[in-house]
Amino acid sequence: MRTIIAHQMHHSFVVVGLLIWLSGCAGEPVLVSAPADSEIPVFATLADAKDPIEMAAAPVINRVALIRHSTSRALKKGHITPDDAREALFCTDHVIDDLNGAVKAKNLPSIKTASHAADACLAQLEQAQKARLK
Amino acid sequence: MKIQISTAIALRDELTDRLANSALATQSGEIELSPVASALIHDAVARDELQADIDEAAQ
Repeated sequence: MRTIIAHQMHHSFVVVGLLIWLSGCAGEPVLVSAPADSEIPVFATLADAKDPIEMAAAPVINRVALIRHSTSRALKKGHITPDDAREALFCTDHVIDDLNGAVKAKNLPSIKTASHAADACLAQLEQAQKARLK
Repeated sequence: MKIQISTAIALRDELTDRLANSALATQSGEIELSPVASALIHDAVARDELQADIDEAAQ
């Protein structure tokens, strides 16, 4: 957490904004300390802005991890076959590879595509469970 | 433990960046990983467990 003290900078909005922007680029959360009556806090909203790529990709990766946990559980309970589990592993590996590529390329649409692919992996797993339990 | 190559590369790149930027290190001498790197480690553990479960079930 980087703290920007703006008490003595009532009229230096550009300077404060620039400091927040630079810290944001470095991926650091920013706390702006400023008098309540100053207009500085307006800029504090900028400090909340996080890297959209990070914010989009991390939940999808966590969802893939959950799908893998679910696959493990289903396999242990005998709700799916080892082949079904291998399919799920292959499917989710593909999603992670795509996500890593998308994050590196900072490609937001590709992250959304990978998110849909993760949904498809889960649907495939659920389908396999239903087929097995019938 | 086995992890995907793309995950290893992503983690390596992030650690390289973070180590090069000492401003990202905390006062206790630790480095805080990004949400993506943290999620990748979480996923790598889940993947490893799934692979082990598949191997065990196939025996």
